[in-house]
Amino acid sequence: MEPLTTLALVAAFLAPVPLTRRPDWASEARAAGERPITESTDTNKIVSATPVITDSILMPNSSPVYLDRRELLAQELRAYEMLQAGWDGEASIKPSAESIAAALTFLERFPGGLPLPSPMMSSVGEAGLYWDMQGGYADISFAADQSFSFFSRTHTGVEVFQDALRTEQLDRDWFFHVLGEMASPQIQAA
Amino acid sequence: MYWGKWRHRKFKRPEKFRRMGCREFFDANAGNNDRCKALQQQPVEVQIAWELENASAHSPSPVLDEENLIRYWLNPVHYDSQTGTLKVTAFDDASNKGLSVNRGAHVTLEELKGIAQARVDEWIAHNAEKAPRQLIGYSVFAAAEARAVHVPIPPDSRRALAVYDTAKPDDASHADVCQIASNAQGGRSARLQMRNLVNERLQRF
Repeated sequence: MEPLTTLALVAAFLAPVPLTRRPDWASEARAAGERPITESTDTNKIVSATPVITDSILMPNSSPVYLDRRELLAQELRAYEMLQAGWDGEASIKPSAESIAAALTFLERFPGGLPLPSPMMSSVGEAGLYWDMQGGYADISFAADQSFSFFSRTHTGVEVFQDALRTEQLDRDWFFHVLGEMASPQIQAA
Repeated sequence: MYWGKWRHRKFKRPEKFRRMGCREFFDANAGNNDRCKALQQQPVEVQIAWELENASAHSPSPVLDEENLIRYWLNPVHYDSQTGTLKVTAFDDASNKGLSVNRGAHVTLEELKGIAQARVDEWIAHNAEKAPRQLIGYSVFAAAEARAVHVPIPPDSRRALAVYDTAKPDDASHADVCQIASNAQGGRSARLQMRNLVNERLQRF
């Protein structure tokens, strides 16, 4: 080996940290007093569990904790089980445990990449989930036999309705088929 | 159906063929928590014609299209405090017992606020074990806006909501919004459109 080549190799090994190493922007930003921007594009972000009004009513003594947004949603659904018959007027029914269980199963199967829904409870005891999206609205209502129905309406008034659906029959394509178009502006923004 | 034969012979029309009047229907279903479902069994022409009749002995008059209706909200379970919007389940009453509203021509907003507060106080006093009520807000909309809600019934569409004058002995301003379309999709569509209408006007107490 020529002396010049040997010197070049030695210099290369002694060189500082390679430029391909990932810069620690977050530390630099903190040092500069700036708030680092999250790098995650996952819609299922970690959020502060600031109780929504349902939580504060049903779980008055709960202390703020940090939860996955999906887990927070599951907690809200479970909290509906605490409602008694008559909770929404004299004819209203105690929420069905089976309906809530179906909603929780649905939530477990809900794929990432789509906006998470919000929970709701009807006076006939059926748990539901709904999405207010930039392209329109969609909701799901879970019956006590654990079947569910889906309804959506775009801002231009185009409606879709499906009933007698079963959670175990769903695949990823179904979710993207019924929600993807209405949620696409939010997905792109995430 | 031709009834001339019965009239000519001075026979009385058989009871089963007699058309029920609006007032008669609402009196017969006064305690029925599914009276809007019973209403859905009536032909659409009858459902709409009854909007022009008194539905109660205490009625000041049928509800005109241009009248303002006020609905206040007290159940936090139907309210999303993070977005400041009502959920569609807040409108389920329209499909069964009727969504209660008050007619702006017969009550002031201040009076309504007092009534709403009294209802909250009464609920809290008598339902300690249940989720509490609280003053959330109110919306004002015209009767014509509720009556304009249509749902698709391919290849056409039809009226989905009707407004009836259902005054009470102690509340002459009371009226009900009822879902008159009976199919499942129509019901979901009607409650969503009602929600959109009300959320646009929702004001805090």
